[in-house]
Amino acid sequence: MAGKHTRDDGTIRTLAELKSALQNAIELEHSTIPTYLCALYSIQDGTNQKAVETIRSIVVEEMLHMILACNILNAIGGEPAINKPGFVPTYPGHLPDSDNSFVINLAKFSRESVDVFLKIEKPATTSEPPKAKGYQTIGQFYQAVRIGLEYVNDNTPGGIFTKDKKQRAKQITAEHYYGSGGQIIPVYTIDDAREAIAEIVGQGEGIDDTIEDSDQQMFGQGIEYAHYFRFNELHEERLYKDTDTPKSGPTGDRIVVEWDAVYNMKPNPKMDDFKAYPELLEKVRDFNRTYTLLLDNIHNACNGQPDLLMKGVAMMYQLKYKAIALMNIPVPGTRYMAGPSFEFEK
Amino acid sequence: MANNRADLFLEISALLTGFNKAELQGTGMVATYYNTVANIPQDPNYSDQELAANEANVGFFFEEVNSILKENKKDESKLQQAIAGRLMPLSAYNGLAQSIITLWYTGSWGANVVNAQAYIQGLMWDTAEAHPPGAKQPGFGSWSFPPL
Repeated sequence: MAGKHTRDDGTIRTLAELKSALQNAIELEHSTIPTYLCALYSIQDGTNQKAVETIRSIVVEEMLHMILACNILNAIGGEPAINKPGFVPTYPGHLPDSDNSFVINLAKFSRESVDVFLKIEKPATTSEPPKAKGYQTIGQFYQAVRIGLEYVNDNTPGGIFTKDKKQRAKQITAEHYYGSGGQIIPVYTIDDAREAIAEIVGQGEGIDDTIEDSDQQMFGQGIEYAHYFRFNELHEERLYKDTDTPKSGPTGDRIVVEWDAVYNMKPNPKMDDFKAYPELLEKVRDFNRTYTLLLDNIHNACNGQPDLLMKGVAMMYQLKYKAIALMNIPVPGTRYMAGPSFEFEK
Repeated sequence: MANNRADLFLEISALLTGFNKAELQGTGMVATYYNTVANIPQDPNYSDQELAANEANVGFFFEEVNSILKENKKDESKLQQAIAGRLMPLSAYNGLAQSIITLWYTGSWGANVVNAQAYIQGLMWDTAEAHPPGAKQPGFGSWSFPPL
């Protein structure tokens, strides 16, 4: 499904290409969530407080980004497609439509996982051209989306932002979305769309060669470091100081990361791996059923029933408890524990 | 077939609680509860005789579990009968089987909650499709939705 309309040079010139790129954006944001959640839930209760705080705060921002991408797509008359098998990435895999330069996994919290997280959140350098396909950094991808939005909007008589009342009512607003870092932005105009993209990119990789994210400048929220730098604190086992820069790296206090206080989750589990163990298989399937219900819920919420998102929160809690239960179940004959496989299961 | 006490404990726990082994393992409490049941209590109020009697009782209980499981491997209804007749009476092994059921469902051993996790992981919450107050939050407004 990904990239059907995307040009080989990574530019966006038509409304169809734009819609396709925004669908990719939704899939891209979503693809990071299972990978972060596995690391988060693999951390044993009561340990690694800093790591838990870091990953949790980042994963809820990825959820926000996914919804922001849905808002932009809805604003130009698109239909976010979330509840179908092709929506769910296969792990190990790549960020959708990226240059495939690194592999993302469903894996426990470890130095290796944090290395991958740093690659996901790596800030774009100015030498990289905007590209919606074959991008190296997520910043490059969104830069191409922003330019595409402006280009297609400018070259379409009357613009591409819907005036249709029913379509405009599909926006997820602050009324439906609570409890996460950053801010939900309903999108009705090109300026709103630009702001939403600035929010996504600013939280992920920061702005203007600082380590801070964009929320303080944009929304007057307290200073928080962008995702890349928050993960880098775990990687370096040292905090940033306010005076640090991307080049200096973190020079603040040492932090303790308990790499061993982690469930030894089997990497990239699949339901097929558990065929010989019906009780365990049923638990994994049960997790996947709830996950698929949640995708249904988000799909419907982003396609005209925004009030449903509230119900999704209850499903997310269920998923968490089911995932942690799986990480407590040994896989017979191995040194691994089971884990959530994030497969589409009706 | 289970051949050590810890494995026997998981096997018999599944039969006593009605939750399967994967479900019990998912609570993360198997090792803690096994130690609660099998270890000599570290309580200074117990006399040496009481501790010795307790250790012997636990030993006999696991021997009995082992033979019940072996003898009734192939017949589910006979297995249930054997458990009901030989383990469930309060007179059998000081009511250890009943205590194990209470342990899994409530997280309590005797009058005490084993630890904070034991309270959270009590099977009674799942059984009632409820959640332990103060933990495992179900999400705001979840009470207004039918169970998944």
